[in-house]
Amino acid sequence: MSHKPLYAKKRHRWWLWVLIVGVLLFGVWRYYFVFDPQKIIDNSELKDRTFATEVIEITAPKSGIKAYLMPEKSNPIVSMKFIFANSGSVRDVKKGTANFVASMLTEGTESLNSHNFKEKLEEYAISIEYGAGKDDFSGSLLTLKENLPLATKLLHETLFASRMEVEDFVRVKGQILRNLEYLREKPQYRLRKAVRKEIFGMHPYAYNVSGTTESVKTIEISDLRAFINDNFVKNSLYIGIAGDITKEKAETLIDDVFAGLPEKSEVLEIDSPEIDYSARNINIEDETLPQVLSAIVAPSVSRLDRDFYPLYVANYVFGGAGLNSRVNQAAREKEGLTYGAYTSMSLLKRAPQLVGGFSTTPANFARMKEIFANEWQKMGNEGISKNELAAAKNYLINSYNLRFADIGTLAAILASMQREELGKDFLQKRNLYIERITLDRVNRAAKEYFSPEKLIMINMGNMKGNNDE
Amino acid sequence: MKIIKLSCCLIALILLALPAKAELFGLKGYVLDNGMRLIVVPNHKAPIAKHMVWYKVGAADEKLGKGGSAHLLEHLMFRGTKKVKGQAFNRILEKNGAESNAFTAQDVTAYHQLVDISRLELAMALEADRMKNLKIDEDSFETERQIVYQERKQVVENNPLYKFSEELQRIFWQNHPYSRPITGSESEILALTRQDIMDIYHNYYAPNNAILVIAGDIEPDMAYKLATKYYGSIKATKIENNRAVYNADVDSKTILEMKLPKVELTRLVKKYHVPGYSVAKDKIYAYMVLSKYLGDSDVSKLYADLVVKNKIATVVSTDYNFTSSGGGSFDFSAVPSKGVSVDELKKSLDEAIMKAMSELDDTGLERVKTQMLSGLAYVKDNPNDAAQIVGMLATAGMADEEIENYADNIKKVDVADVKNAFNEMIKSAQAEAVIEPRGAEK
Repeated sequence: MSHKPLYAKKRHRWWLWVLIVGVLLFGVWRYYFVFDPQKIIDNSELKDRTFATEVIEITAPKSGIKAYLMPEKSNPIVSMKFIFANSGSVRDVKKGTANFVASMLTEGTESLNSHNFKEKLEEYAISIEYGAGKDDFSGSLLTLKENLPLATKLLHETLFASRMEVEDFVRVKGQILRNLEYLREKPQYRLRKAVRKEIFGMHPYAYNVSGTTESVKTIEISDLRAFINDNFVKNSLYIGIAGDITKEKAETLIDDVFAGLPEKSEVLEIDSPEIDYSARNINIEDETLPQVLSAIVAPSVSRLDRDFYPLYVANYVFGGAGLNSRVNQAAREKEGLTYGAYTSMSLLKRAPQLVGGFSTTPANFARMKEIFANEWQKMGNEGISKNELAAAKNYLINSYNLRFADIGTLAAILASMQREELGKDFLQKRNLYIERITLDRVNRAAKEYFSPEKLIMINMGNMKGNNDE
Repeated sequence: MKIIKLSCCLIALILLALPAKAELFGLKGYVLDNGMRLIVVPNHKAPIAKHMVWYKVGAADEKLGKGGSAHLLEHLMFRGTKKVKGQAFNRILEKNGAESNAFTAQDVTAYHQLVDISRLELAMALEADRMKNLKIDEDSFETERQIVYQERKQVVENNPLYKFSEELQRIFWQNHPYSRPITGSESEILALTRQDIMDIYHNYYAPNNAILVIAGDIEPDMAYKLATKYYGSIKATKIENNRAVYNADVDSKTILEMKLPKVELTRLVKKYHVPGYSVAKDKIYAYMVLSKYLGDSDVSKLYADLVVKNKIATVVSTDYNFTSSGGGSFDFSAVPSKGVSVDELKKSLDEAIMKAMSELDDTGLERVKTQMLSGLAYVKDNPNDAAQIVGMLATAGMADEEIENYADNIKKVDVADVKNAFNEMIKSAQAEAVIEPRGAEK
């Protein structure tokens, strides 16, 4: 009598053991063989951090110049970025002038010769830099909070009392010419030069911002002064300030540096280039190169175009996502044909473009080109999938805060938000813009811009003897 | 998986170029029970963090003939583990918005992610997983070997100067492993086997041979807690470290002259064997000051003399590398002005160096030290830079206090220290290299 319940109990235990062992095995399997990223994120002790990115629009009292400011007090430093819109190399009368001006502005002021000026910057850890792009001319200031008054004064002098001594001018010219020789050593530079010429013809975009050896030789000090007078004006100025600075101090900084700039006289129009995007393949033979280097160009949209975000996503999936992009998956990760291929959206004001490139050894070239063309056509025909859209949105939203790593970048973002007319609330709204992107819009943009009829490919290298049709 | 060549000098450059406060970073260091060193650099500007794992193994640890294996391993670390299969590592990080990459140098291999702080634990979990569970199948091995072969072609050989740079390393480091390229040669890459790669992985990838650096929006104690959670259970292994220090006692001068097609600019490089941190800890600061004084800016002595005053050169600079375990190096580089011969440049450079050294006095030294220390606040600004610098210095063997006390150590340098350093340098083994365009007149 007594053994039946016992037996029953035993049976019960047996099932319990199966269950326990099963659960344990499942646990061990999960522990050793399953990696659950979402669980780690959900349980992270560091989730739910908030971040205030409030942008203040300020107006300097004396000059009326407006700017964006983001106070950030974790480190006692201040950064300012300023842009003179449409004063890049597109403005050059002699090619290379804007770039030459950028180099000369830090070669001393009326009160300090080049050496003493640079020594002052080093002594007080003040960085003043100028640069010419194709569209815009820009400058930046980085200083310790305690040295802001001196930094303000020096920056003002670079703009209004530039020294332009003959000796410095001759030296800098020599350095620019040497730098052009240096650039020509690089195959990527030679390829880009060929691309610019093919695409832009006679338009100023066809030239490197440094100019050419011939054009730089003809530049004189008077050309630099004329450039400064014509271009450093209030109405094309955009300013971003970030760092350990109050609204009042920032406004004073702006007045002290920029108030003396003139309002612009007449606005000179710059024509947009007329570009023939009809599909073609151009080969430039260079048998000394170990690889064939390729560049691709296709039309694209400007920053404020309604297709900007959809096309941004299509490009991201195609060639913007690093190793995870379709073109890298197909050519690099699966077949090992190249160290990398990429595409990106170039936002030249007068010629927004999809640009990209890759390089590979001659034996791989035909296959590499085929993969690129196939993927391009596939993107145009089929667009992207729901999962790809979701992955792209995740990346764009989750990587958003990474751009705030340094104070100089912050100031630059603030300046370009104004230059690109993105609005004061852009930083708050940007992720919303991403979330709103629909699959339909992405695929319509992909169809329009990833078109085999509008894809220019220019290749440079040793192509003889390769079955390149 | 990308960057293959890390100039250790970069760190010196950043430190020297970026103009100070007693503590350089405000970092905090720990050592986990398994021997893994952790360094935390808090930075609360934005809710992000840079997560880096530095392994003390690089191209210099490869067996002879196995050039490129440390670098190929670095690539294969992205090709899956037992748990995170295939390319899931990249896909997971991408979906979570991380910027992820790695690089291989002569002494170190480092893996890093810049992440939103909410994803830091994810990065740690993934990195900890691949410290021990790497699984490489033959297919992905073969593909990745092709990729690094293409990488060498693209990043190294497409540059017309590459032969010059590699020859210079070869004659300067002679029989030391640094004489060999980090990528390996073409034939070495193509002959590497899966086993070559796994040998390095098993011999060197362990917590006690790694340094974890976290810079960003996190408190040190939290970072320590998480480091213990993710890395703490990985067992330490015995690490054989047979690194050689270059024997710089030899009084020799090796000369290299090259002419190459597609090269347009003539360059002169003079390279000296000098003490680095691994050889003489107390001497490195004098060499840093020496470099800054002579040639590490547009207001340096050599620039003022050769570029500004005498117009012999369009570019002149110095560079001091102190982080390499095999010994330090001190470089002078110059590009002659148009019409200036190499011989003229050599002579003028030597004269300018000697003149600058004879003029060195307390006032000049103080000026240089002020330049070096005035802007140290900037190195803390970007967590990417902070992690990079701290990791490099820590893998070179520096203790936390040594890293933090940079300013004090620079301040202690006096004129005699700098002159002694210089005198020691010019008596040591050196290489002098010239590259000219093919067809150039001698």
